[in-house]
Parts: sequence; C-alpha cells; structure tokens
Amino acid sequence: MHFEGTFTVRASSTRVWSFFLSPQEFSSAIDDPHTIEVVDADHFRGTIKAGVAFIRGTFTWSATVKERVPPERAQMAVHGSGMGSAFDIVATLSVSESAGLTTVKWAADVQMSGTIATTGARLLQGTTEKKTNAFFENARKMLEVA
Amino acid sequence: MTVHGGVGQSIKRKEDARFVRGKGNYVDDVKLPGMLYLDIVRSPYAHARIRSINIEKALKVPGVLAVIRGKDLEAANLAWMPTLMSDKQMVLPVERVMYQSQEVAAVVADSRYAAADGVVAVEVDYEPLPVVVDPMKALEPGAPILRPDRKEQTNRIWHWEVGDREGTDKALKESDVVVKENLYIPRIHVSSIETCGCVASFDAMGKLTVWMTTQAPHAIRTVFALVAGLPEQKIRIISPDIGGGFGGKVPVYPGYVLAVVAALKTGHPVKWIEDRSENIQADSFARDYHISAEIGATRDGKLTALRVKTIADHGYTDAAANPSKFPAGLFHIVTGSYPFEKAHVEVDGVYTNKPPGGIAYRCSFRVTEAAFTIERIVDSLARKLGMDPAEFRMKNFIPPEAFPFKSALGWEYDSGNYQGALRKAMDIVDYDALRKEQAEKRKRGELMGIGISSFTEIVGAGPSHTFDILGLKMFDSCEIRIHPTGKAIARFGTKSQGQGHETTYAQILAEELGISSEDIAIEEGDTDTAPYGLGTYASRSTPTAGAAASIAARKIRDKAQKIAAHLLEVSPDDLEWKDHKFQVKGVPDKAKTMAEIAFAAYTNHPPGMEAGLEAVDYYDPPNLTYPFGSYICVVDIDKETGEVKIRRFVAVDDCGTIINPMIVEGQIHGGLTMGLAPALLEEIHYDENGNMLGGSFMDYLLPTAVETPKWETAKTTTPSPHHPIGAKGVGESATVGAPAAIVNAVVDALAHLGVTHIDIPITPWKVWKILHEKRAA
Amino acid sequence: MVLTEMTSAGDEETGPFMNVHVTVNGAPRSATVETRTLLVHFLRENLSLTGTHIGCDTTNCGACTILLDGKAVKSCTILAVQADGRELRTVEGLETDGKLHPIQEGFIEEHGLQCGFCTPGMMMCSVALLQKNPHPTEEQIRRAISGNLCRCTGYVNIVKAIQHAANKMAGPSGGGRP
Repeated sequence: MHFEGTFTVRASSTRVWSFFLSPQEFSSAIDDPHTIEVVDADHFRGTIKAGVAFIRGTFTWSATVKERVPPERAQMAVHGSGMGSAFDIVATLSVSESAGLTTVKWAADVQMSGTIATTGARLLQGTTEKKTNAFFENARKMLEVA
Repeated sequence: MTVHGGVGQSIKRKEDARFVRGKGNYVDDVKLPGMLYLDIVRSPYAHARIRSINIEKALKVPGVLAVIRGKDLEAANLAWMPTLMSDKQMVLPVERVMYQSQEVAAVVADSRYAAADGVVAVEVDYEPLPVVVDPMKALEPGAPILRPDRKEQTNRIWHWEVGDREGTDKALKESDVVVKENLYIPRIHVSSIETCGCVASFDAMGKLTVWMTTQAPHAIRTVFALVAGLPEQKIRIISPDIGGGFGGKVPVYPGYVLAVVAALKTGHPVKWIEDRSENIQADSFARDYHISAEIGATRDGKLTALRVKTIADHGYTDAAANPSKFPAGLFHIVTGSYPFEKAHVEVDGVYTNKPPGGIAYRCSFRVTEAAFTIERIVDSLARKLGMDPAEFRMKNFIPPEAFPFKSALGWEYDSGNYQGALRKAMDIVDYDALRKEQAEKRKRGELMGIGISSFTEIVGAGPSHTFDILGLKMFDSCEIRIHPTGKAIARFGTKSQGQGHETTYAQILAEELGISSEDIAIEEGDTDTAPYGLGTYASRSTPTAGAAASIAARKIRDKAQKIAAHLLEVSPDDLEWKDHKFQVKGVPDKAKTMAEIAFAAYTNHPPGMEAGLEAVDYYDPPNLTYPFGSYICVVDIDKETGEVKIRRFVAVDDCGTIINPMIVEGQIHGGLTMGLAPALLEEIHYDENGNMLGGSFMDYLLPTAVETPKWETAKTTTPSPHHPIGAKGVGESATVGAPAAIVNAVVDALAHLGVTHIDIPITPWKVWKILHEKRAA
Repeated sequence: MVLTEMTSAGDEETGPFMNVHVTVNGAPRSATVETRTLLVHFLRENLSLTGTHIGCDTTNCGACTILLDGKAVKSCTILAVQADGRELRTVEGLETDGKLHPIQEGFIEEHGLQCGFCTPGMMMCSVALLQKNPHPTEEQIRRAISGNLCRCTGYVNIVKAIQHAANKMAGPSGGGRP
C-alpha cells in the first residue's frame, strides 16, 4: 500500500526536520500507547499497543534511519510484528520552507503480512489514513506550540 | 471371467454421485433443531500469564448464552487432556498460554455471528512471559522451562536412538569419503480445504452424539470415554464426509471438547467450525525437523554407514500420533533403499512456544523426513565422488533378490525392485538425453537441473506386537453382511477422507465374493455401526482394513462353500472357487453363484448350520508394507528472477497390487502436489516473539493449478508377499518421495556454482540471492 | 473471528435486518437476514443449499464459488444484501431434468475429485470459464481455476475434467448447453 500527503506548519524547516528525526519528539505525536528505546542515533525500537479492525494488541517495532539530509530529506524503515502479523514501512519526508511556512511532503510504502493483511486493503487503508492524519496533526500542533 | 468392479479395474467412484451434485454431507452441513454455535477466543501472545478473563461484556452481547473458561473446566477436571503420545494438552488454559492463537475461552451463542461478536467482547488481561521459539535455545541451560508440570525440569521431551552407535562411528571413520549435510525441514500445515469442526448433541437419555471431522472415530470414542468419564456405549462418534484429512484430522482438538462441554452446559446441540485462519494457526503441524546427517562410502562408491542426529520441535506438547513405542515415528526407515551395514539415529523431542508440531502432513510417522534425508544426502555423496546420481543409486540399491531384507535399523522390507523402478523412470524421461541437454545449456549459461529420488516407504501400521496408540493395538477391521438377494453391505474401522474407500473396498469384496461392486455398499465412520478400528492415516487403510476385507470375505466363502455343497448335493471338498463362483471340480456348469448361495443362507441353509451369511475380521498385519518408487524431476531456473520451473516430473510408483488404477493415479497426483508444496512454497514461520507470520491463505501458499506441473505417472508392480491380495498402500508415497527429487534437481542446476544444499521451501528469493552472490563473487 | 468486524460498519446505516430476494437456480427465494450476513451463509443456512462450501476466510480458496448473474464470484466476499434482486446459480442447479451437466460428468469420468470439498466451487468456476471461452487451452484452464484451491487431486484430472466438458458441450450431442 502506498500513502502520501502534504501538510504545512508554521515553523522553520530545520525545526521540523529535527522533530521527525528525534525519537522522543516524534513518538510523542503517536496517540496509541507505546514505548520507545533509542539504540543509537539511527536505530530505535519499542512496542506499540494498537488496533486494526479485530486485531488489537501489542506490536513490537524497530526503526532504522536510512537517509538524513538536513533539513530537507529523511527516510526511515520500520519493521513491526505481533498478533500473528507483521508490517514493514518505508517512510520518506521532504521538507521545504518558504516565507516562515514549512511544507512537509511525506510518503509511506506499507507492506503487511499475516492476520492483519486478511482484513483487506480497504479497511487497512481507512485505519492507516486515520492514524497517519492524527499523527501529523499532533506533530503540527506540537511544532506550532513550540 | 472377471467380476464387474473387481480388483484392477478403473471403475468410476461411487461417492462422486453425491459430491458432484453438492449433496455431500460434511460436518458444517449438519443442522439440528435448537443448535447453538461456539466460537473461540485465542491468545495474541506466544507465552503469557493470564491475569484475568472478564466475560461480563461478552455475556451482554445479544445472542450470547455462555462463556467457558479454563477455570470452569478445571472444576470438572477437564482443563487438561491427554495427547495421543500420552503427553498433556490444555483444553483451555487456567494459568498460562503457551502459543499464539491458543484457545483461551469459548463463547456459545445462538448464531455464528453472535458467537463471533461475543469473542470480541471477552476481555483477557495477559502478562507476557519470555518466549522460546528456537528448539536449540530451548535446550540451552537457563532456558525458561516451558512445562514445569513435568517431573523432568527440561525442555527436552525425550531422547530416542536406534542402531549401532560405535559400529557406525567406526565405519564412518574408516570410510574413504564422508559427506555431511544439515537439513532443515520447516514447519508446514496440511490445510485440507475443509477445516475442522463438530456438532455435539446429547439426547434425552444422556447419549452423546458427535459429528466430527475425524479420521479415527473409534479411537476418539475411547479417548472421550476415558477423558470425560462417559460410559462408552453412550458415546457415538459420526465421521461424515470429510473434506480432506492428511493427518490433520487425527488429533483431538480443544474445540471438539469445548463443543461437548457447551452442549452439556446449555442442553442444546452445539456446532463448532473453525475459520481457516484458526485452522492454520492452531491445528496440528508437521515436520520442523533439524537434521544433521553424515554418510560414508568407499572410494569406488559403495555406501558404508549413515549417522543421523535430529532435533524435533514439537511445540508446547507432544501431540503427535505416532505408535507409542516410536516417539520419532518410523524415522529409522532413513536407511532408505540402501543396504547399509551400519547406521545410527538419534532424535531429541523439544518443547517450544508453538502449537503442537510433528503430527502429520500426508505422512504421520516421519517417513518424509527420512526419505528426504537419505535421498538428499545420497545425492551429495554421489556428487562428491563425481558419480552420476542415477548410476550411484543403481550401484548401491538393495538388490531384488535380497528381499525380504532386514535393514540396519531393524525393519524387514517385504518386497522391492528398486532398480526396475529407477530404470523405468529414466527410460520415460530419457535420462541420457537430458544430461546431454544440460551440459549444452550449462555451456550457454542456462540453468537446468535433473533430480532423482528413489524412496522406500513404510506403511500399514501395524503388527500388534509393536504397534499401538495409547495402548490400542493398530489392527483394523471389516464386517460383511450378505443379504438374501445377494447384495451386501460392509463396514470398516477406517474412514475415507477422499481416498475413495466406498469404491475400492467394494472392489476387493467383489473380487473375493463374486458380487458386482455396484451391489456392495460400503460404510465407515459411525461408531455405533462400524467395527472397531484405528482409522485412516499413514497409508494404512489398504494394508490393514483392505486386508481385513479379503480375510472376512474368505470367511464368508468358507461358509458359502458348505452351503453350495448342500445345494449341489456334493461334498464341500468336491467344489472349487473358480470364475467367482463355486463349481464342482471339472464340471463348470454345475455351479452356484454367491447370490444363489446367499439366498439359500436365509431360506434353505443346511441342517446344523447357523442361518445368515456374515463375517467380521480384525486384521493384525504380520508386517508393515514397503511401497517404493523412483521420481525424476527436471527443472529450469530463471536466472533473473530465481524462479524454479518444473518442466517435467516423472513418478514411477510401486504399491504392490493395484485395486483401482484410476484412484491410485489420483492419489499419486495429489501426493506429488503435497510434495511440491513444501519444496517450493509452504512454510510456517515464527518471529522471535513466537508471532506467526503467515497464518492465513494470503501468506501460506498452497499450490494452485498454475504452479502445479502436469505430473507424469507410471508403475511397476511388486506385490507384498504377506498382504492377502499383495497390496501395499499408496496415499502418502508421493508426498514422501517428491521433495528430494525437486531439491536434488535445483541443487543439480546450481551445483557448478558450488551449491550443495538449499533448505526448503526453495523460493525465488533464496535462489535469486544465491545467484546474485555467486555473480558478485 | 473475522465475521464480526467485516460487517459491523454497515449496521448503523442500513439497520440490522433486511429482506433479501434472489432467484436461485431458477426459483425465487427470500429470507430476512442480518445485513452483515455473507452470501455464502445466506445460501447455506437460510436457503439450506449446503453444496456451496467454505474453505477459508481470505477469499483465496474458491470453495464458495457460485454464479452471480452468470459471473463466477466467491460468495464469502459478498454480502447477501448485495445479491438482492439478482440471479444466482449454485452446484445444486447444475443438474437439470435428472441429467448431469457436462462438467459434472467430466469430473466423474476424469476422476477430477477426491474429497469433494472444493468440487462445487471448482465446477462453478469451470462453468463460467466455458461460457466465456468454450475451447480453452490447458494454460487458459489452469489460469482460470487458479483462484480455486484443491488439496487432493494435483489439478491434472481437474484440467482433464474441464476439457472433457468442453468437448462434450461443443460436440453434436452436447448441444452447447451453458
């Protein structure tokens, strides 16, 4: 599945870029209960309690920063598993600033396997979109407050 | 003169008439008045303590009538039950869950949908515990003990060995050439297209009837009687039409017991039918064998000795369906088609946080593992010696004149002609031309491989002196009643799941009794009517119940001979059974048919003789049977994608006397496909948390018509000397023999790159990676 | 497990029950069902047409294949309410006037079935294929049935069964029956 979107935030591109590369910061924008552990600058891992359709429970995840081009681009790969399911996400961010407004273009390629995949693309798409939008909305608020 | 539908005829199947009309009667088709539905809450964790199970919300779901938890069962001493290997398994957990998707609670409701609603509303609070997925780690000191209920505080379930350890060590040391391979056969799942389920119902007199997807209804009845403390005459197990079994419908699953408990609790019939995902995540699995094999030979290519060590991952309980004396099944058939003088095998069974493993996949007794091991490593050895794998096998086979042959690990092979089968396969496929083509293609950089597997099967368990399951001896049975009009009904202790027993058993009886097979009704699967038997698995029906059919029919013939003598007013000794009737020796027109004799048995039987014409036989086989075959597989590999394409697959099988060639060929087609499946496609994989990756048909890939090649079959016929009609059984042969042929072909295609083995399933990704690495290097 | 969530979304809008009218094998049938009821459950449980089977929960196996307005569909992936007013054909409708359909004959003659569980879906898929393509090649047959899983036969005889039916339907005595 491929997702993408754009949003604009009133903050500098440097600030926005570092927000999404800081595990403590970006994780605070996730609504679902979770834990996070920083292995090193490029590797994070943790757990997340989430639900898609009838699959609700704890997933373990690990993330690797694949690309850092401050303050313009970043790419992160996330692998997660749990509840008879597994997912792999490759997320890319493009950040550009103009007149005090920063535009974030994001894209994510998501691969699901296991029980989670049986819920069907339409259901997954809806849930994933809802969660992604909530995440970026939270991020925007946090960035603008700061 | 042949009898219609006798042995050797490709008559069409009787059972097809209902199946093609959609009139089969499978368990989910059973519908009783007032019937309720049961659905199961399953664990998302592979290992966790259950802190609490809150059922309040579930009980408020419209339509939900009851929720059953482990502690409810504990009160009735039903939380645990024995496995067929005398281990223990949970019906529902009281304290801990041991694998992902384990049953945690059962919801009973007035519809399927309400039951499913109820399942979602049950709240379980889990405390995750450390998970043991890898059996090697399970054996390390300090590993969490998964089964503290056992006296032995270790994850090693058992250690089993057979053969001459010192002799084998010595022989290997003295061998000119020794080859060692580590072979992993992954966990796989039978996935019959019908999942498991049952309908349990108590009548007003307290008699329990269970319609159940079971391959062994009689044994199940006895287990139910012992576990639940119900009097056995008040239990009736009916195994209706079964939508494929392959061994997956031998075990007693918690769902069956829960349906019975729910029927008792609610006073209504209760139906439980599992989803495919539940079936594939929690029902019994096969293989999961970590094999290390060493084989030795002289410089000129004569085999010397074989040593095999194996770690068997059984999951959280040993729920295999092996004969009780053989915890590793018949794995010690691993010397295969070769006369090793020395051999030694050891197997360790290990507990992990997985569902029960090592049970069945169209082979219950570890024979596939054995055939794969020997046929794989013999190939490696031939390559090391620089010999052609066909030539190497021909040189080393047990010769036809050596039968009955006593193997180094104690089996007595009944009959065989291994050279004959391989020769035939080589002729059909034109082996020499293929080798030439391969050499030319290799020069052009094209990847083509030829793989051979010359397997020896071991089926027909088994003789009562050695074979039992939970103490029940592994005989099987046939009861025949000939009606006054010369028609007959026969009932058996086995249970067809697609093998066509209604047709083939009638053919054996037609041949023995001189009655058209169309006039013989065959019934199986109802414990109230059929004679006791151990059921259908491990290719045992023809060797055991098929033999019982012959012997019971011959008992009938003994009596019929006396009646015929009475009718013809001669002495029984003056009669001979010829052309399917009794005739006065030398006077063919003075004869009585079975129909005439049957009528007399009820209307005009000799004085002093009981009326009627019936017989029953409980057949205790004197030995196992040893079907065999040689398979040749030709593959082409796409260098760019790593895809393995089976160009040809020639299967020459020898299962002794053939009862119905059409059905035998169908069994081989199906068996080959279930050999192809684990070789190229299927694998059940767990991550380090015991999380199953691929618990549905979206990730667990059964072969479709596109991946399955056009199988080519042929036969040789070497009858079993000890079976009444010389038949050996065939259901599993192809599944046992095929994987090694496919892997040998792939390795053969890549051997010039230094490849000696690839673990199954050989996915395009694995092959692509190898090609990519070799190209880079 | 799957059933609850697949269907709960629709409940608020359409109400929990609906009367579904269909024509099955030429006869009008109707029943009142929960709106979330899958077509395969409607057939099997409300209409007692148990020839259509359920073999998976992910639309992979095809055991539930039927014809909906002449097209092969997997009835486990369609709600009963979506079939309202439409024409269905199931395995029970293949035999007419006591005469087996050529596909049924083909499966018997060529030993295209063993346990019989996938057979109804396999036959309905084949009927749809032969309607569209009366003379399919082996390759086309294999592709057409690749959404229907069989665990017993290895497909070789299923392919032959479909070829048998194609020949029969094309021949003078076959009468080109659909």
